[in-house]
Amino acid sequence: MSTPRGPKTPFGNSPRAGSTTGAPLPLVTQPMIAIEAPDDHPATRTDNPLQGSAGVSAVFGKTTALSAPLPRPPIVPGGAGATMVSTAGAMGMPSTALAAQGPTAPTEIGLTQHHLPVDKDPDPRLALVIDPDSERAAAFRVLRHHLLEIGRPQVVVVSSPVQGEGKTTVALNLALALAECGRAKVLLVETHLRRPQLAGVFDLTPPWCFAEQLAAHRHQPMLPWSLVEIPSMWLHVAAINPANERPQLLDAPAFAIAMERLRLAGYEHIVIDAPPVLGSADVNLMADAADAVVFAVRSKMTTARNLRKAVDQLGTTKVVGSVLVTE
Amino acid sequence: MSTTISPRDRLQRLGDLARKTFRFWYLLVLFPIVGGGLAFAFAQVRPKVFQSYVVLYYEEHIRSTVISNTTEEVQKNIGDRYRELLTSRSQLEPILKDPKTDPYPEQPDEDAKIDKMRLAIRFEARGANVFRISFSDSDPERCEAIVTALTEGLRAVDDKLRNEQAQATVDFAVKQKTDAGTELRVRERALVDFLSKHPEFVADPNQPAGEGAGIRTANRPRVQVAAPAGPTSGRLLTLQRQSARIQARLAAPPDAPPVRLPVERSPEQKAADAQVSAASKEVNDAQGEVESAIKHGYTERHPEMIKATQHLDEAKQKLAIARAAVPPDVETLVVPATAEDRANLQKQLNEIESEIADEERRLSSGSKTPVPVAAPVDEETNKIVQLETEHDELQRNVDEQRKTDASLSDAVYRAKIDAAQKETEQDRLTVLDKAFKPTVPTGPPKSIFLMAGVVLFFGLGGALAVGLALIDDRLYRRHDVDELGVAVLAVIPPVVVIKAGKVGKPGKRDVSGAT
Repeated sequence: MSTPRGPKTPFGNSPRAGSTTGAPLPLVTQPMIAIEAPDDHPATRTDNPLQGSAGVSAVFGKTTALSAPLPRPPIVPGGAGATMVSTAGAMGMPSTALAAQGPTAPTEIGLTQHHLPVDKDPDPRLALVIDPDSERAAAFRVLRHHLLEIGRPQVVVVSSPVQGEGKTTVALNLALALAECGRAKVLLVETHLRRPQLAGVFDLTPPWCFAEQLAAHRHQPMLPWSLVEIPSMWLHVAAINPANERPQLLDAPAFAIAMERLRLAGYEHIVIDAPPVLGSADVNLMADAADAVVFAVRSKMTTARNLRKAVDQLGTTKVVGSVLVTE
Repeated sequence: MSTTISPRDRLQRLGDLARKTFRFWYLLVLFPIVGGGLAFAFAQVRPKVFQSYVVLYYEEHIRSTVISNTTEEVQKNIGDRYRELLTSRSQLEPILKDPKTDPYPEQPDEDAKIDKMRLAIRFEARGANVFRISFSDSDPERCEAIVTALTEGLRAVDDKLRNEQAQATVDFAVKQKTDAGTELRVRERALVDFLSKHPEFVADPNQPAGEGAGIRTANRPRVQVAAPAGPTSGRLLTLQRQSARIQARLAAPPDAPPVRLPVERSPEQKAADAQVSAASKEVNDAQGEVESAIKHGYTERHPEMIKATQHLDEAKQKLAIARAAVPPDVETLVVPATAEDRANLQKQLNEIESEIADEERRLSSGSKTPVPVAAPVDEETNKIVQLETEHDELQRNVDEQRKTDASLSDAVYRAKIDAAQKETEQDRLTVLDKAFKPTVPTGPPKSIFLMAGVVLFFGLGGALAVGLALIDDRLYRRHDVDELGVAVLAVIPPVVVIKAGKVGKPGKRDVSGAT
C-alpha cells in the first residue's frame, strides 16, 4: 500500500477526503490499492497490442508501482453523510501497495464508498435493486448467464443504434447481475459524454469525472483511478459528472489506455454504458478495446433499419447479441 | 438464435400487425371526419340535376298470328332497336335545333352536343314490353320538353318505318304475283294450243291425272287399254298408247262435259278486277273506321260511328257492283269431236290398228318369248313420241307455274293483311306514364353522400394505416430481431407496477431517463 500523497493533479489541488458537503476539509491521506493482474491477463501478454505501442510503453516505462493520490475530493452525494472514503480493500481486494512501474504494473484504484440514500426511492431502472425477485430482474440474470456462456467477456460494451433505447438500463442491470452477491468484481463505466446518466441513477457526484480521468491518464497512465464503490451492490462505478464541462468526443487513445489499465485492476467484468452507435464512431473505438458488444433494443421504438446499420457499422466480430427491452 | 415459428407465433404476428395498424388510430378517426366534410360540401355545391321520364308500353293491337296464321314474331331485340332509334342523329338533331329544347346552348359543336345528349338519355327495358326513357338536365321544364319530344319522335319514326316496310312487302309480293300469273298464262296458252292441235291428248287415258280426267272417269268401263300378252316393243307400245287416246276420244259421249282450258284474262276483265280491288280496299278502310270508333267507345248514335257505318255500307255496295261487273272467263272448250272429226279420228285409229297388227305379227314371227324386240323406227312412231314428250313438258310447265302462282297468291294475301294491320294499328307504343316536370333534383340525398364519404375515407384511412403498419420496421418481438440475424440474449419484460390492492398489473413504464 503506497501512501496516498502524490503529485498535484492536472485538475486541481491535492485530493481531499471525508468531505460530505464540499466544504474545505483537512487533507486526508487516502489508502491506495494496487491490484496485480493475473499472469494470463491479456495486459500481461507479450502480444498485447498496447505493449507493442511505443507511446504506451513510454508512458508506462519501467515503473512497477505508482502511488498516486486521488486528484479530487471525495464525492458529495445527495444522501447526506452516506458517502465515505474507502479503498478497494473494502471489496476484498488486496491492499498491498504496488510499486512496480510499466504496462503490466497493477493499477491503483482510489475508491470512494457511496450508499444509496435511504430517504429516496431508487431509480426505477435499477430492476435488480427495486425488485430482485421480479421477472424483469430474472431476465437480466438470464442475460448474465448467456453472456458468460459466450466466453466470459471481460469488457462488455452496451450500446444501441440510437438514443433512448435502454442502454443505461441494460448496462446498469447487467453490471448488477454480474456483481450480484459479490460473485465477481464488476466495474460499471460510463462513456456517454453527451448524456451522462449514472450520477443521477445512483444519486452521486463522482469524485473525479471519468472524462477528466481519461484526459489525465492519457499523459500519466499510472495515475490511480478514482472510482465509486457501492457496497450494497458489490459494484464499482466510473461515472461522468454531468455538472462538469467535458469533451463531446471520446479520446480514443486515452480510452484504450484506460481499458488496459482497468483490465489490470483485476475486474472480472467491466461494463461500459456507451453512447449510441449511429451518428459517431465512438462505439467503434470502444468496441476495439472491448471483448463484446451488446445492443439494447427497445421494442416498438428501435427500427430494423437502424439496428442493421448499427451492426454494419460495428461489424459482426464483437457484437454478441442484443437485449430486447419491452414496454 | 433462430427459433421455429409456431402457429401461435403467426397469430401473434397477425396481432402485431393489427396493433401496429391501431397505432395509427388517429388516421381512422381523422380520415372519416375529413371525408364526411368533403362529401357534405360536395353535396351542397354540386349542380342540381333534374330528371324526367316517360314509360312506354309496346303492344300489338291486332295479333298478326291470328289473321295470317304465321308464327309469332320474336321481339327479343325490340329494346335494342328502340334504343338505337331513340339516340339516332335524325332523332336528336331536331331537338337540339330548337332553342327551347337545346340543353347545351353554350356548346357550338353539333356533334359534341349529340354525343352529350346521348349520354344524358337513358333507355331502359323494364320487362318484355315496357320501356322507360329518361333525360337529366339542369332545367326541369326543358327536361320535360325534351322527354316529350323524344317520345313523340320515337313513336312517329316507329310507325313510319313499320308502314314503309309493310307497303314495300306488299308491293314486292304483288309484283311477283303478277309476273307469275303472266308466265302461267303464257304456259297455259302453249298447252292449249297443243291440245287444240292434238285433241287426243285431252283425254289421255295413259295419264292418271291430266286434262280430260273427267272424261276418262266417265268412260272408264268402255275404254280398255289391254296389256300386250305376247312379245312387245317400244314401237308397239307407242302405237297402243296412241290407239287408246283415239279410242277414248271416240268413246266420249256427245253429252260429256267439255274440257275447260283456261285462257289469259281479257283487258276488260283486268279493269274489272282493279275495280274490285279498289272496292275491297275501301271496304277495309271503312271497317277500320268502324273499329276505331268502337275503340274510342262511341255508341251507335255517335256521329262518328254513324258516319263510319254509312261509309262501310257504301263501300260494300260498291264492292258488290264491281264484282258483278267482272266479265266471265272465256274458256277454250275442247268439246267431243264432230262427225268430221270422228271420221278423221276413226281413220287414224284404223291406220294405227293396222300398224299394231303388223307389228304384233312381226314380233310373233321373230321370237316366242315376250322379250322386247328392237323394232325399226318409223316416222309415225317418232311423231307420236315427240307429241307425248311435248305434251308432258307443257303440262309440267303449267303445273309448276300454277304452284308458284298459288304460293305467291298466299304471300300477297299475308303481306296485304300485315300491311292492313300495321296501317290500322298505329301507335304500338302506348304511353303509360307521360313526361312530367320534375320538382326535386335527382340523385342521392345528402345523407347518402355523407355516408359514402365517411365510408370511403374510413377505408382510405384504414388502408393508409395498414400500409404504414406494413412498412413499419420497428422491432416488436423477439422474432423481429432474430430475422435480422442478431442474437437475442435476453428479453426484458416490462416494468410491473404493484399498486395497492393490485398485484402484478402492468403499468406505465418510466422511461424518462432511458438512454
